[in-house]
Amino acid sequence: MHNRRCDRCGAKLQSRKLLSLQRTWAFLLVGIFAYIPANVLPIMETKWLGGSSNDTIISGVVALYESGSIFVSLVVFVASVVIPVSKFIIIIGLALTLQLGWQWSEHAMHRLHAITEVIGRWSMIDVFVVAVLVSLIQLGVFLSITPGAGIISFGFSVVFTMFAATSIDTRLLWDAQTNEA
Amino acid sequence: MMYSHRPNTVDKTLAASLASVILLLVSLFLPFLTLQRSGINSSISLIDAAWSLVFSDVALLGVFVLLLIVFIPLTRFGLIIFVLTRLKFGGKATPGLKRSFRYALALEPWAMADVFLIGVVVSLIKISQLAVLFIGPAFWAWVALIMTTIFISINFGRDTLWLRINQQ
Repeated sequence: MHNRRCDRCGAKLQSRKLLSLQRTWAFLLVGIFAYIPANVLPIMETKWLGGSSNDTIISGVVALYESGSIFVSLVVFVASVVIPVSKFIIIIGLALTLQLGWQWSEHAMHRLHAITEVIGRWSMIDVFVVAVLVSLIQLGVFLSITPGAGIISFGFSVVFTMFAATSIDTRLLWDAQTNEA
Repeated sequence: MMYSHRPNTVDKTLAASLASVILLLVSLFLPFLTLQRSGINSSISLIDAAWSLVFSDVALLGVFVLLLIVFIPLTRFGLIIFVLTRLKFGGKATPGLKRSFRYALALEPWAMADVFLIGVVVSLIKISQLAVLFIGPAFWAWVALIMTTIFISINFGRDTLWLRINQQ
């Protein structure tokens, strides 16, 4: 296997991804830890004549809901809360399954893994919302929007959770089954 | 489904990738949104917006956005165009060609033009109470870009292309 390359695509051949589980845990922990300040710290600050307000991820969702944009608030809630949290849970589940040799349906696990890889990128919506609002609202004295530290933490959380999902070696899911048989 | 054959995948994907590059470049420089408040109109293009972020105290946010909606998508289209023109005109399947195609496949989830569009729509709704907004030509170019990107993913015959690469 040493230094052999795939005939088709030329990638280096590897029996299993090196340190797959360690990498997954490391990326996942960074993702989870970054998600905490992402929710506690403001993602943006809005200032206008005579007032200012700090928005967090959740208060942004609530504000959208209260202004009557129920569907849009739901989209943001799913992108910023439901998807990241369910990704954490699925990846923790997959990693624990591999670590402790739990027996599940491999097909279900593969499907869960494929889903986390596809939906993860949609979490970035809030990062783009803040970026657009900040660069759009440059009206000086009347109104200004500045980004908060929360949105950077959130961006890092999404990126590292995506890394965690791709670093799981799905072949390990089959190994667990073969070893039992 | 393990294997699927897509007819004309080289020509269709190549055409759509070239169109995507043009649409992306066009949307960077034309006005994306125009904001009207107290009689003042301010138009903003994506490149202005990204630049003002990169040189602000939140440079990181600007870098994130530039990477995800400009550099990564352009790199991906560039790699696809490189591989497909080589295929079309009978170039050799060098290791570089294979590597380029591998990277193009790996970059796919990180090209976030479609996610960005949803972000723009959400922002529009968020500030609709604070200011009047008009959608500029670059916005529609961006919508077209999403369509060509979807067209690419529908017609992208990964397996057919790997076969073609290895037949060269």
